[in-house]
Amino acid sequence: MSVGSYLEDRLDRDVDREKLTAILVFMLPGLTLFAIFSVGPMLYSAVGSLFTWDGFTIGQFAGFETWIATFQDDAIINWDNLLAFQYPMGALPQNVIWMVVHVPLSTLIGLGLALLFADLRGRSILRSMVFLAFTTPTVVIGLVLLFVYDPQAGIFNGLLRAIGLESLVRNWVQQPQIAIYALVAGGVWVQTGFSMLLYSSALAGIDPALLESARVDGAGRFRRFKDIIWPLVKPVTAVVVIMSMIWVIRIFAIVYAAGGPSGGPGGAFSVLGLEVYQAAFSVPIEYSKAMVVALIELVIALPMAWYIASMD
Amino acid sequence: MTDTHNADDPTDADSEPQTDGGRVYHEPPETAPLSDRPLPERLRAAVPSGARALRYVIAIGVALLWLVPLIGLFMASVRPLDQIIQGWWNFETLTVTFENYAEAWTFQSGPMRQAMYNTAIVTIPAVLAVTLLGTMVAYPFARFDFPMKKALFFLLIVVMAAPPELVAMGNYNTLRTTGLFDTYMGLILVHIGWGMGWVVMFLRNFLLGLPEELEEAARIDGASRYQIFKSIVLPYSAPALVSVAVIQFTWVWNSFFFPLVFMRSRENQLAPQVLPLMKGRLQIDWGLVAAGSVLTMIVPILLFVTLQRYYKQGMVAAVAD
Amino acid sequence: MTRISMRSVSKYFDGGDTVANYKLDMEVDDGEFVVFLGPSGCGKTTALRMIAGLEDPSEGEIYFDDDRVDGTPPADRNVAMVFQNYALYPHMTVRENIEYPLKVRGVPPEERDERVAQVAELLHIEDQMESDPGEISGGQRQRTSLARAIVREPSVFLLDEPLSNLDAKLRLEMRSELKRIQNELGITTVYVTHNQEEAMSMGDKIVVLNDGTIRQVADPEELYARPRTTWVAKFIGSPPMNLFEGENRDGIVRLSEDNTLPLPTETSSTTVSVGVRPEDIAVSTEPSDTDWTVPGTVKTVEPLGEYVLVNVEVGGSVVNVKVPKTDAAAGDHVHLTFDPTDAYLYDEDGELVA
Repeated sequence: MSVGSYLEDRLDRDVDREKLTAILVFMLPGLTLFAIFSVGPMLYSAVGSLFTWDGFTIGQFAGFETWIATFQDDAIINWDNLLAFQYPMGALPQNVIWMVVHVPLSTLIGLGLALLFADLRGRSILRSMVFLAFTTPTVVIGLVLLFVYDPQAGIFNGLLRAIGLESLVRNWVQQPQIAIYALVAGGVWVQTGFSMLLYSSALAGIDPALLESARVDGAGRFRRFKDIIWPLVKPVTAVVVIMSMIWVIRIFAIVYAAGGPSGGPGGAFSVLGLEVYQAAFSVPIEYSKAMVVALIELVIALPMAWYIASMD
Repeated sequence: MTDTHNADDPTDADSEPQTDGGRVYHEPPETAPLSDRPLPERLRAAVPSGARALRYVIAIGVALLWLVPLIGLFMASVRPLDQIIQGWWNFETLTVTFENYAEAWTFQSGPMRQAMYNTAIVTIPAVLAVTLLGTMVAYPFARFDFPMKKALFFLLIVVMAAPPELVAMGNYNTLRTTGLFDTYMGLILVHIGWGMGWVVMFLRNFLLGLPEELEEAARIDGASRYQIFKSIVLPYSAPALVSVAVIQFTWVWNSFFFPLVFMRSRENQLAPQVLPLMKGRLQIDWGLVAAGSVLTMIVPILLFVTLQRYYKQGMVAAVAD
Repeated sequence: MTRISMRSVSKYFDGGDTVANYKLDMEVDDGEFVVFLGPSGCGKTTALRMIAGLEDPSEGEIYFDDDRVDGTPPADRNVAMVFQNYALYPHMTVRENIEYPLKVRGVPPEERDERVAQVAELLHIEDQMESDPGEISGGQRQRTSLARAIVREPSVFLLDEPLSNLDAKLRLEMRSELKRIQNELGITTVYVTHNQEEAMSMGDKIVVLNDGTIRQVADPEELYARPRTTWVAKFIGSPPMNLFEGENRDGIVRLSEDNTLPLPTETSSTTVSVGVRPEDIAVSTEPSDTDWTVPGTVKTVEPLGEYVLVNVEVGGSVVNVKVPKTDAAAGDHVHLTFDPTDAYLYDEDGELVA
């Protein structure tokens, strides 16, 4: 090895070390907090779910005992009611039902509104009006829903009275078989703004010449949507659907505000997040169950997030 | 093909026609000439016609419909309870009162005065810190190769997807043992660690677009990596940083679960935490709940209204990239 | 086949604050290739879009043959349009793109295949049929968009700056290709461009537009030979015509204190411009014995191979001269001479005195 190339090698290594130091200096503070308060607690939950707990103190290794018990817990899955499709069915099926109803509705209405506003004057204001609910605290959303469905002061019942459906007037949030849909409607109200926003930006990204070209080619309104717009906003649809699903999986404050920590009458609209809170922070403390339920949430959400990440 | 100037062509007297070798051409006016069209016709042209007018009506109707629940909340916050019970949309007797706000401000189980202050004390440092620290992580992440990069990418995604409940138990015990439980600092740290996931991913995506020439030029000028960060990376990311800060502010301010778990004492409660307490046990005092809600939401809403360009851009970029 | 007439067509935007087109009157004959030529922002694209039906005129009427079409949607006009950026549907293959207008119109699949194959052959894109628009070259994209326009045999063919996104070599190639296809099919064609070379080489007739209004309609030879206004004179030609402005006193044009030219044609106008094309001027270091001469100072000499471009300063403005070769160098005092038959005279309104 010649002296020159040796020196060059040394120099390279020095540059690398300098670079590595810089990278460490940049990343260390942020990643430390990230490790302590996000990654660590997650691993803690993953490991802890396999142990018994005495209050907040870890006990013995118990394998999948808690996992098995959790799937037999009526608060999580009430198998009898689930088969009879009777609320309460448990937090897991209820969360899934929420998802199944909420996600398509908010996505479609969001797309519809994005199309409706697309080329109107003042569209920015119209969009902001629809989006506003998404920026308000979710706990306020829950209270607003409670207010809307109130038998006396609620505008929903007021509306029913006004159109002569007096017999239907009730506190919708207190009806075990209906309450969840009443809340889902509220969720859709909030999330539509979000999907509308994403669709609006996707629509704005479509070259207007494409639509004009289709018009000249003879395509009517519907064909233009079906052949041009829809295929071009499809990637956004994937994002909207997945983000909405993650949003629903994480739902907590709306339900807490509208139905208290138990999730409505008999837990009729309880969700997974609420069960974690109940198990971990109200007597009796069941830390391992809380961890299992939170991990179930993660297991549902993770593949979706991974899909989004793999898109770029 | 021929020039089609016929003798019977209407040529206006007010816009002097000029001849162009047999062809009449008109010097175009700055704006549409008013005299060319009668007033009714101009009015008709100005008002969108048929289908389009219907679309305006529907669009405005839907947008208003979307606001109705929030309008109701606001109306309830400024009216006495007996009038709210009659329906806030009922205007036969209208008394505007700020009694509800006064009551919420000094609410016994958690005065909004204190709760709003607490929320601000937690939110502002948490947002500023996560924005700065997040950029510092995102920059090398976007620019350099280093060991474990894939693993870090994976972890960030996992945290972005994970429910906040998943970290509650671990953090509860951590804060307990370090004595940070039920303190501002404890909640701030939890928020920073939790927000890091999406903030880093967002800024990484943004910084992937930072032209390498900018940094190279600065290095040739003799700038150190830290100077480059300060004088190139930070200013370049300014719009993205505003987006991050605005979105993160709304999320931290609005967040309910973390304060619920980590802030227990009455004087440490945050505003979103206090609101469910206002429901009371029996008859809900809607005026109080509404006033408290309006106070809590007014901050993120004002922020959104003033910085909505950044908010919307950020929202779209955060998930669409 | 179709004849297009525009009768006093105006188009206003922003509730009348912007005038895009003003009182356009013109006619495109059956099978004719007409070029709308003008600088950017002159309203030529808006005029085209009104013919397509993508915009409705604010005033005036548009006829296809004897049918009034303004107000009818583009789908009912049987027009085809090629957009500047080609507007190929990114999620469809080349074949699907070309097929699309037929599919929309409910042409049965067998016939579709046949016609698509025909235009593909006509435009030499048979090998790209299954590619996505993103995978093919600019020229092939251009051909695809032409194929899509041609495939349903429209009665009017509209092209909006179709060659502006191609490199110089491709542009030349596509120019003759386009002309060939138009000759072959004989479709009434309106072509919008800001490139006068394209206009001159392709158009049967050229419509020169500026500020939203028509300045001149002529075939290419006439447009070059007889620009009707100083504006057109300064727009056509590369470099365009030189204009010597001066005062008309008793048949003598005074350009400045000591520079004069004879008046080429009789006029009563006092302020006139004498126009001469760069290729009609000779440069000489020796004074000339004719009256048709102007002295000046050479600023730059640009030998361009084919010819030499000499920029000469005359009374504060620059005169462009194209000569086969020259001995003059920068700083030389020279005399510019020209033949009176090559001179144009424009009156005080900037109109040709003829």
